[in-house]
Amino acid sequence: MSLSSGLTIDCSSQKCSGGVAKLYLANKDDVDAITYTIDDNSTATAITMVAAAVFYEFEFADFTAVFNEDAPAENCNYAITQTFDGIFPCHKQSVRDIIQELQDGSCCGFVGIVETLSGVKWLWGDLDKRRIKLLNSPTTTGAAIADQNQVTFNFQCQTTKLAVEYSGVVPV
Amino acid sequence: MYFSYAHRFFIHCKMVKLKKKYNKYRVGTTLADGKAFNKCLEDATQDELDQLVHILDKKYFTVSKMPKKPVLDKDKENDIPTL
Repeated sequence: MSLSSGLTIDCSSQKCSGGVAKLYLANKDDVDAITYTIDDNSTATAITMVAAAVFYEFEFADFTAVFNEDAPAENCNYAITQTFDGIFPCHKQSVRDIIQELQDGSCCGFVGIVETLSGVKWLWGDLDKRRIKLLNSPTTTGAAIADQNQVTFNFQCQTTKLAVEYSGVVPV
Repeated sequence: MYFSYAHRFFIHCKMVKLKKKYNKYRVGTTLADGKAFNKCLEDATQDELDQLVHILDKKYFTVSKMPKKPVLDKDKENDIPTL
């Protein structure tokens, strides 16, 4: 595809505060089909789940969740690394169990949707064999009273395709 | 919304396939009228199915050929013709 248009800043797009509202994750085998407007580089409009499976919603502490995409060029190829980092406060057994499930599921991987505070939903991890994995989940009790007892979740997806916008409803 | 006979026949064929094979599938999307659809296909209303067949992945559908003698569509308010 060759370049066919440019970018123009209008008044409405200048206000775009940062921040992530929610992360949704689904086991890759639970997602049967994703419908795109044109192809898998265009906006996704619908997600069909297998046997009433759903996406699971993850919330994180305020001002801690961030979704990044890095797309360095090498030999005319773009090795895209997508990362999601977020902090969940107060480590406990139930959180530990979720970490275990995320570790167990990371071999096959997950499909994810990041909902930003500006209301845009980004679909990532949907390219075959390029799924989201739990990269690390360091926990800390903190040392001082002012420290936070917390778990940090680091998800990563190494792929060749940038996340696409998802205009549909997340099947939760 | 008025559908022609041909249009309604194709929609009906697609819906039969949907109901038979994929009624347990859960779909999340936004319908053409702006409403949210976030439930299993078996819970979809007739109107929602009419819209979903235009949204969902084409792999779900196998549309059969049109009948040689199409039924005259005298009443535009009629339901989808029976196969």
